Amino acid sequence: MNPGLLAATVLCALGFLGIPFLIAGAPVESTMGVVQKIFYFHVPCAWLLLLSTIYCAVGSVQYLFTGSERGDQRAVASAELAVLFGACTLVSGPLWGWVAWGYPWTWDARLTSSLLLWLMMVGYLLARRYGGPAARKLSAALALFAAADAPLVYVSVNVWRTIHPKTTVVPSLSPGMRGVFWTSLLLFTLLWIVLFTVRLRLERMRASMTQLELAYEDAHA
Amino acid sequence: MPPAMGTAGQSPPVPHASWLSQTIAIAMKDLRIEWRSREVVYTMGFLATLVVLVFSFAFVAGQDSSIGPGTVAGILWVAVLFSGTIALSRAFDRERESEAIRALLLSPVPRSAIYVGKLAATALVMFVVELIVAPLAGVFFSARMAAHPLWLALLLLLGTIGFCAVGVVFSAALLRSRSRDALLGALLFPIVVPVLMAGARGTSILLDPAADLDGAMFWTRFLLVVDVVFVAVGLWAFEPVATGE
Amino acid sequence: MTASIAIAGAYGFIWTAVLVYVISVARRMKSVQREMDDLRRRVEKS
Repeated sequence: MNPGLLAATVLCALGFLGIPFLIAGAPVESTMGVVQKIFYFHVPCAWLLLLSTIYCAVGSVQYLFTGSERGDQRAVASAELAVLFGACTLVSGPLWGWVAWGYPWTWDARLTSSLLLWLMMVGYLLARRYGGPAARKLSAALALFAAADAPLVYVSVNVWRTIHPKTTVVPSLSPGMRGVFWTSLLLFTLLWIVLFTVRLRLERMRASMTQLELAYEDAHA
Repeated sequence: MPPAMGTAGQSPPVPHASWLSQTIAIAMKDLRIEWRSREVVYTMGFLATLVVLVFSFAFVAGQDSSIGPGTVAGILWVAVLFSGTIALSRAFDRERESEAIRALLLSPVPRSAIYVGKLAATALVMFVVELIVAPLAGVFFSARMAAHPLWLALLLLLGTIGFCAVGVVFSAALLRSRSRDALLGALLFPIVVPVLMAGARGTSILLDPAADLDGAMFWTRFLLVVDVVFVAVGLWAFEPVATGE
Repeated sequence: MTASIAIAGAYGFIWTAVLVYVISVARRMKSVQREMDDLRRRVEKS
């Protein structure tokens, strides 16, 4: 384990031990009450879902058009993290909505887009696992389509749902909340970097393992 | 991964065969095979009709068969897209038999011509099925399918092109996968949700006598944008996807 | 659904999910490591 990763992991662990106290100490939002505190975890997760998807698409483009193995490794690591943090977003969001709105789900533009983005990234992992001989190319093409699709989904859902009642609950942050929110966001991003680095290492280990195996088989053929 | 022998970009240009004529040749080849067997039109058309029927058994109650333009439009598009996966999965199936795909990829035809040719042939076959299923849905649900027939056909055509633009790439990549049929739908549907949404909303407006047609105009334009984006990405992605495994 | 249950549920889920993911990556790493050691042994034997 290199020192940078070790330091980041320790910092992450300490941060996640400390952040509940920070969140508990943050001012209570006046209209929504205590449940607004889900926001400190929900928004960073949503941000990481977006970040992972973009990063996955960038890696996939590199792999598809330059044949870069590293791009492919970055793409698969990001895709797994997109599914992980997407699941966190999609569970914490409805839990908040259940209390704040009275119902867990609404076909709001953001909710629907996150759900579809998450489904596409699940598709990426499915394609990779069961796609047969061309699985890696297939999943890379999927990531490309997903990235191009995201703005279309957002626009279409935005127009599509205007016939539904609007539920705009945009939390306005007081200074006390802002500090906690940014700390949490930074902490989650740090967690992402740590997880990404470790997952990337696994992918590289696998790649070198495959090469070793091929070399061994060649030598003993 | 070694590049395939003689990638399309480096191969010498074939005289007297423009990109367009090569594309048409690919599309015509598929259409001719389809014309002889009519396999996709029959199976896909049958499935699409069944989907419409299943929905009508589920939704229609009593003597009144009208269920509102929004629901009819949704049912029509779901039927079209679900049954469309049959056409897509068959698009490259024929190339797999006797390894015709290898010959096709080794030939000096540019990948983009293969992509567009396959896209055109698949979309056309799907469109023929839609022309049968849409009036049927109109009959089953007493919907006003004939109110704006050309506009409705245009919506269906644009939606089908967008759907196939994504599907042809996936279908090509899944050529040798054992779980192709299961995967194709699973990967395709989250991505084509904008197509489904625009198609269903636009159709619902066209079927509704009281609705404002500006909305249908918006969704038609939106589908056009979707098509441009999907075909552009498809053209871009098809080459590396089809080149090797 | 009360606020406290929702918060506990959301935080609990996120922490559990991350933990499960870390464990899964660790296990996969261990199995690749094992394969590698196995291969090394085979190479040395031959």
